[in-house]
Amino acid sequence: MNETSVLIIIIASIFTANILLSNFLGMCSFLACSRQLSTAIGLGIAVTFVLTGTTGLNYIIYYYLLKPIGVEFLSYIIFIAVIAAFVQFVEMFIEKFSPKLYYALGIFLPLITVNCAILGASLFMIIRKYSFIQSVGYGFGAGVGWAMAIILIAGLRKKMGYSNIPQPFQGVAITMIITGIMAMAFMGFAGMVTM
Amino acid sequence: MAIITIKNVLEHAEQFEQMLADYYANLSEKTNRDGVRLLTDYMSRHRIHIEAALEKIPASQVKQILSERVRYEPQGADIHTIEAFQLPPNATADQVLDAAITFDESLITLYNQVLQQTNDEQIRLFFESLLHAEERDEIELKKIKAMDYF
Amino acid sequence: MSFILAISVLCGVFAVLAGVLIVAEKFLVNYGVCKIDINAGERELEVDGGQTMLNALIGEEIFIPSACGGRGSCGYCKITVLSGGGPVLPTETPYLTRKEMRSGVRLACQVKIREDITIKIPEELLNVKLFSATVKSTITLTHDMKEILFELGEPTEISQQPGQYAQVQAPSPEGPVFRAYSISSPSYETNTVELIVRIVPGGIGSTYLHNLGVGDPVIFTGPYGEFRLNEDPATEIVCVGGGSGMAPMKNIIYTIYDRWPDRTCWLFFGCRTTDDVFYLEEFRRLAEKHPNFHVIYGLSDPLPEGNDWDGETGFIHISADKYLEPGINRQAFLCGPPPMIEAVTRVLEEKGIKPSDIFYDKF
Ligand SMILES: Cc1cc2nc3c(=O)[nH]c(=O)nc-3n(C[C@H](O)[C@H](O)[C@H](O)COP(=O)(O)OP(=O)(O)OC[C@H]3O[C@@H](n4cnc5c(N)ncnc54)[C@H](O)[C@@H]3O)c2cc1C
Ligand code: FES
Repeated sequence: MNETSVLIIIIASIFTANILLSNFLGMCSFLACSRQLSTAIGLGIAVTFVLTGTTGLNYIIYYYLLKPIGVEFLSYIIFIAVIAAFVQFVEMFIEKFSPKLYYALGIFLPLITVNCAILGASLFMIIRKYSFIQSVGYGFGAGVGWAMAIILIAGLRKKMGYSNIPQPFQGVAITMIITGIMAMAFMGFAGMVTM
Repeated sequence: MAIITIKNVLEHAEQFEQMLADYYANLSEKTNRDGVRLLTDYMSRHRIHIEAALEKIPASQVKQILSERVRYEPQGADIHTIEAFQLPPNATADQVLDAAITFDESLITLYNQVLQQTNDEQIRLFFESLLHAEERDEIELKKIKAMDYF
Repeated sequence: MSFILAISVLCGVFAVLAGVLIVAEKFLVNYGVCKIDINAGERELEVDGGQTMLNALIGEEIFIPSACGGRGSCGYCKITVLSGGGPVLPTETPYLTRKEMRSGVRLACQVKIREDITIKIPEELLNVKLFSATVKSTITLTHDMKEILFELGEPTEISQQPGQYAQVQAPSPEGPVFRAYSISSPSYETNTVELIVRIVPGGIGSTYLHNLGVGDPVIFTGPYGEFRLNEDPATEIVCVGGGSGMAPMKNIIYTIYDRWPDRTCWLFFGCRTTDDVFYLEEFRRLAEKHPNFHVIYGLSDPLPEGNDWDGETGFIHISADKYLEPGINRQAFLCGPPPMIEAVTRVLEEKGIKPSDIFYDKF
């Protein structure tokens, strides 16, 4: 059992071990949806929600179904299926309650399914031997961390729209470089808490 | 490559619209064809798309939109576009319509350029409605041309 | 053994997930049956939620005009939503003026039905029907104009007013599209619909119609349009057409002389050369039977040497100015390119016709 307190896990997964900036997971939608602040915020919230939900669900399935039967090797495929189903659910939910957000997220909602940060979080929770509460906390923290990173980069890209970027660096290239710099900046938090 | 505000872009486009209106009015005076006179007279009075598009947005947002900045490579929709079409007094209506379609297209290119750069929802909507107005204008011109009335 | 176990776990988990999704769909996506109230209780529909307003109305045989097939790119399908329907979507704003947005105008193809909705649509749209028909005959009128006659199949009768138009369905690579064509057959002919179509180079609808042969099936909806002929026989009717704007005039004229043989009616038709002239003989014969029918054709291009044109020359608003006496009670119907409409409107207003009595179709 891992003894770290939930609060520490949450703070750590937001700042010191940000799933995007330290593990570089979930880059695809991070690059694709960070052009506009409002989309970034929407996607950030959706990812947080999905991450929190799927870590909890996957925890239950892993420890109460797969492990007792001894088929842990199925975890990858089952985690993915759970994530896909959950995303479907979120999609229906958003469509019902916020058509505007649904429209803005467009094709990116289904893309969350293949956002590796989400599978990543479920796998980390197993490797790190978190308890249920810790897992959900970690999922939530990872989601908030991811959301924060994409919102920050969206803001930066908005600013960048007016700067004179040399031709070869325009577009994704400069975004990757900035993400790298941001990741380094976040390493400054490293001493604060550890997981 | 310059960085200018939306206000500058609009001033540029507005200036172009004004030049077009003058150009048509001038043609209308010089031409010796009744059809061209009728047509250019009409066209010179129907070039106020920017004003119409600005009226669609709440006044509180106009200022913010105008002060946004975009990167701009000056090309097209200026005096040179018009100078390329110095039509003689005996130009036919078809020639005039072809010129007018080219002018509309140069504005469409300009608006598309701005659209590609902006992240801002408000600005995008604003330029989209400008773009639509210009595209509708182009279709109208093509229809007039196809109707073969002038 | 472990294989079987693994596979059954896999299947079990998948089945449970699918089950949960189906249940969720029932509660979230299924909006149940929603009510649509049209024109303050004039009609009440019960439709399945989740679909677009345009599709729901078409499903109930209320045919809202639409040229793009619901892709949100034509802006024809405007309706007024009084309650329900959610916020205006970014796809709609380019087609709506500020005033329209304030009064609740929406694009029907973008409004999703998720709750009970109250809408307002023009009265005459409730009478629009979907017709299937076959081509009865086609006549080449000029180098670019064709007269096409449809024999109605289902339903067998149409009740149309002069000045109204039909939306013909034409196939396109991106699915069916609709194009508007004025009905040129007089309104007393209820079993057929005639169109006069000018070919537009590269045009989807006009090319399709020009290529139709006798016996080919067509589908159209109609009739659309708010023009109403003044029923007072003392009111003179003035028709001014230019370019392809002949179809509504033909309908108006024949309908008038069927009902009021002595009514005064003016037809001004403008085109460029003698090659563009059509129906002149037919209308002159009609004018012999009805002395109060005046036919004036005008050619705007300079006449070539040695021609025998006995009509007017110059643009058609000039002919209208020449013939019409001021101060007579008239209703006018114009059809042609916008600059022509503007020029003619100016002339007619100088002759004392009220702007509210001048109707036009800008093609
Ligand atoms: C109320 C109403 C009544 C009409 N009645 C008639 C009628 O009686 N007879 C008739 O022939 N037409 C009529 N029209 C026009 C008709 O609806 C179509 O717009 C026209 O036939 C061109 O359609 P398309 O599919 O062939 O061309 P599209 O595929 O739509 O367009 C092809 C190209 O032609 C241009 N174009 C679009 N519309 C026109 C046009 N109207 N004329 C010339 N070029 C155009 C476009 O810029 C485009 O690039 C009417 C239109 C309206 C709104
Ligand atoms: S059907 Fe074309 S915009 Fe709605």
